[in-house]
Amino acid sequence: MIRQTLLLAVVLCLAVVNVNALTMQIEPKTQECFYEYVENGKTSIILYQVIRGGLLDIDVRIYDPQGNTIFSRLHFDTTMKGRQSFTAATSGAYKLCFNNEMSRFTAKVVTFTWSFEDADNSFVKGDALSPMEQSVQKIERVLQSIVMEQKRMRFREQTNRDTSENTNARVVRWTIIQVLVLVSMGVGQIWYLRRWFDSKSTQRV
Amino acid sequence: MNIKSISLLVVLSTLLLVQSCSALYFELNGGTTKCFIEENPKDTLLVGNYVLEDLNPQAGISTPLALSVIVTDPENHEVLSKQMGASGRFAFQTLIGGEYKICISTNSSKWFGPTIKTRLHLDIQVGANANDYEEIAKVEQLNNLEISVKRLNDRVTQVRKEQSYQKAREITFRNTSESTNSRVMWWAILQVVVLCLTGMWQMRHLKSFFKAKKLV
Repeated sequence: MIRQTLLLAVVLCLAVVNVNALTMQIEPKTQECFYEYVENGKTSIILYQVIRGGLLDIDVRIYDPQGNTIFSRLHFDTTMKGRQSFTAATSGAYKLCFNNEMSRFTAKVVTFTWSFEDADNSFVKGDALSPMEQSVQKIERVLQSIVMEQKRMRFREQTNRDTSENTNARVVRWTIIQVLVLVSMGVGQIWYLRRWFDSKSTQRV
Repeated sequence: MNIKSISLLVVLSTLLLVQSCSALYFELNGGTTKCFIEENPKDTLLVGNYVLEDLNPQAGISTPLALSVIVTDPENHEVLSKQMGASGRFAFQTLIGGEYKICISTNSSKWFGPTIKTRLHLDIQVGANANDYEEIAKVEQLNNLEISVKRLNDRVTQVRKEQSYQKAREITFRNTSESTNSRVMWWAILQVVVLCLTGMWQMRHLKSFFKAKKLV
């Protein structure tokens, strides 16, 4: 049992070499925090994006293991690029928080990636690399950036599609409401006018 | 060196490894559910590895930690529903493209104790990253270069799959936009027609009303 747990922990460690990405819905008036153990001197790159919800704004904060705020920003996805990197001054668990407390009704869907700058993910490592191995390494690096960009574009498309569907629903809803208001106003005017004449002629208008 | 010392060495080294690395983690209290969204094209493998840490271990009777994972597909059908122990792994293959919801919760408070506070180390890998290349290299006996090329192959296939998924979604998006465009026009025309009709009805009604009252 213990052996299995350790084995799984080792598997998890091996899996960690890849990039950690999560997408989560943050309810109004709540905040969600994530921790990552960073060693002294390592540079972390955090990419985040708000995909859904209101003005696409979220409060982002990063804390160091001692609890000091190393980064704090109100992020608007329409105008800002969600990218932040920092170098760890001490080893410890760094905390990343997404705060939706400024919103009263809208939940926000936030996606983020926590990666390390010099994480070498490839199988071919070492100094004396043959030209073939060097090529493979270069392709791996470029492919990684293609995958990241594709992911980002997908999230943008999702946001645009949500806006479009929202617009569509709004057009129908508000037009129906407008027609109803128009008709009731017309009927109401006539009724009101009639009331003036139907009352006793001695009564003043 | 005998078997016992070798196994001790293995255990110690793995302990060291555990100490020095931990995936992204967050706090999960007993009874609460945390949901993650993963959007994927169809025929994508999704693997989740996790380790659940008990933050307040209590001596004596303690119910073992259990994690419940429920995955729902874009049409709200349950794809996976598992109860697992303190560490484990779950995997599923997407049959349709779209948003998958992965909901995770621990068992709620022990009978008479305070709420369980746990720390969940979670790692979700999608598509080509979900394959275990070390394992494949061992099984198929490939050298470093060959396994690298195999991995590149898989990742490029994933990129292509993603692109065709995007193309299909863009078609839906375009349909919605065009539908909105035509709707704006037709509903506005309808409004103008209703306005004119209401105006005409009003005038006709008033005219007949005044005639009845012998005012005109």
